[in-house]
Amino acid sequence: MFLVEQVVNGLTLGSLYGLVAVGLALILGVARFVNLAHGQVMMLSAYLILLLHRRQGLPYGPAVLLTVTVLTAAGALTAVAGQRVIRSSWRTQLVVTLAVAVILESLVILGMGAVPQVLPTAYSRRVVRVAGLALSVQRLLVFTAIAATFAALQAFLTYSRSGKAMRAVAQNRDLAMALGVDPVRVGALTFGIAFGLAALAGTLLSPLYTIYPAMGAAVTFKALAAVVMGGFGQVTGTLGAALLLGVAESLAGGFGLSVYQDSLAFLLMIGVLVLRPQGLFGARVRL
Amino acid sequence: MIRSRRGRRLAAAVAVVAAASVLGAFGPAGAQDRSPIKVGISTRLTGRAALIGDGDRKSVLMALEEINAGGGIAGRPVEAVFADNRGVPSEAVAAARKLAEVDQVVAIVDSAGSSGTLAVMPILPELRVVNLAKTSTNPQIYALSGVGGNPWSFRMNLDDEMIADVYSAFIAQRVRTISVLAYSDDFGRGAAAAYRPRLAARGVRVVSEDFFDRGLPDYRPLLSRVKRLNPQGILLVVTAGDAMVFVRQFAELGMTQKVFSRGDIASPEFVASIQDAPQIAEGWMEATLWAQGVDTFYEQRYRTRWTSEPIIHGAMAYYAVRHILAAAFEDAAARGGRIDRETVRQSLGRISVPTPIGTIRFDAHNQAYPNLYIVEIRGGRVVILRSLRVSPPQR
Repeated sequence: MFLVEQVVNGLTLGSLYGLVAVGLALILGVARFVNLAHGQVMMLSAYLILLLHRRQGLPYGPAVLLTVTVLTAAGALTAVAGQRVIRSSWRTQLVVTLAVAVILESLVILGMGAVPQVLPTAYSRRVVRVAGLALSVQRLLVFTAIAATFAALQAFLTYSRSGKAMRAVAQNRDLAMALGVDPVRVGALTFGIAFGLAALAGTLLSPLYTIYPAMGAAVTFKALAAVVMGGFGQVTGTLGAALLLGVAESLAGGFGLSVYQDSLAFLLMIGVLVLRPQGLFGARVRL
Repeated sequence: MIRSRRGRRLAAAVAVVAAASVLGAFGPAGAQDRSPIKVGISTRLTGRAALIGDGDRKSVLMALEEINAGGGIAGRPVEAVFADNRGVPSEAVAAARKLAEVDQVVAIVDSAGSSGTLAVMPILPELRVVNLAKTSTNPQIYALSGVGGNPWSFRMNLDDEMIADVYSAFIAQRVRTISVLAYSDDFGRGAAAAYRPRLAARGVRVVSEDFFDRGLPDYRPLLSRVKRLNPQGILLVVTAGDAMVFVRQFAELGMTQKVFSRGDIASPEFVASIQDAPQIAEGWMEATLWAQGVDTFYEQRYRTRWTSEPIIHGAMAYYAVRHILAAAFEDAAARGGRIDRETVRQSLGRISVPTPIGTIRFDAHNQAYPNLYIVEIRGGRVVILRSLRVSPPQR
């Protein structure tokens, strides 16, 4: 039972990493863009839902929908407006996105203060017992929403025309353009989905954790580790790696090794790079 | 009457020379120095603990407004120069260097946390500037300061061992087994090391010790482990931001252990965070250097001035500047007129200042002994149970 409990704990944390990491992987795979400010998108969504739900009194469900919609639109706009940066070298991308991350964090401190906030909801307060485990309804909501989201994303990428266009650009951008795929439109779609996933992480998991300006930075680096472990730019591999990372961290905490939790992510990443440079799921799964 | 132009010039020259002689006879004291006295504040202006820097900045500015409204110190205004250390030791060192070498402050108030203070201490003899720690609780600071080898390091707050002497006796009256959950830094590990022998000496068995990084998003793995060990109590060494998520996951798991905190659950931000479900922290206790209710004068002024709630770090920064450094500057000015780094250091060793948190007097280790407060959360509010005087340690 103890092990099951730790796995469940780890899957929650892994879901947070997964939603951010899959967005990063999509942007990296399709737009060839390294976004070090992606965790800050999650942070912004957490503050937005805090404003909508806690301060404006909007019910939690509509607040989630509105936040995800706003951030999705912001992602698409970012892709269109930031074409020069997106097409620049990876060095420029790193510097610009790092600067954006710092600026966003500072703006939030100025606007919302640095005090950590909590976002309790009716779902986070209600606890149910499932097979002997005490779980908040919010946690069950997270698992359900994430399973549904990734099933939908996978179906979208596999069967829809736009999803196929994204995969085509990811595999060969020039050839896709020659076949009539509009890279700007695909970029906007990719950024929109990625920002939307980060917003989903921020809105679903904030009621379980705390909201603070620096919350994005830590998640970005864990998500990057999951992207590397999953095989650069691969969705299912990245999600699997993120969940694995969450479970590994949880088991470390459960067995008295919590101090090594952060190091563990990067040790796992190094181990994967040495043993399977193509990523844990590199051979089987491609975007 | 001097009629000729040459004669008038000669008379003017004589007058200038005479005036200069008179002023010269009085020396420097006659030419009163009106330049500002600069105090350096090294604090966490950005990063996860930026709320500490925010409280420090507002409180220090308030203290300076009060000092300067009263004419300053010896007719000189007092100014603050802020430097951001982000709570990171290497940045605390850079901040101290900048304040001492570039800004030429006469003293530094340090809010870098225990790790930051310990990182800064070795460079103080080189910089020759006082570093006044206000909330760093690692016991090593006591051992290394004053007669411990570093005459420039001062600390106005109690350390973990001093607090543990009193608090572990309090804990031992309530539980026989306990788990320790603490940050993996000098603050958390210092506290755990201080409590381990003291609790054992009082018959309390420590069943587990877990250390973790600040900002841990999920405490459930740790809490599940503690739940399985089933101690009667938990000693929690974290700050408010982490305690906010800890308390909810503690409640989610249905845990009932008595929680003894050494962090800041008595802070307004923690108390505000539980208002939707105050019962989740009912009966949690804390040993703290300050809590709302200790100094209503400062609290009211702070709320009026900043329309926000005062926090422990800000309160300690306020006392550091408003009471302690101001008294040291007054003492230095009264003794020789010069307020510089050396005279400030000497004055800090001499002064005895009554403050709202007790009388501040630095011993041979440059350590002060303010009050310790035991507080409890009842119905979502902080109640001060006891105010205790702490004696110098027998080390």
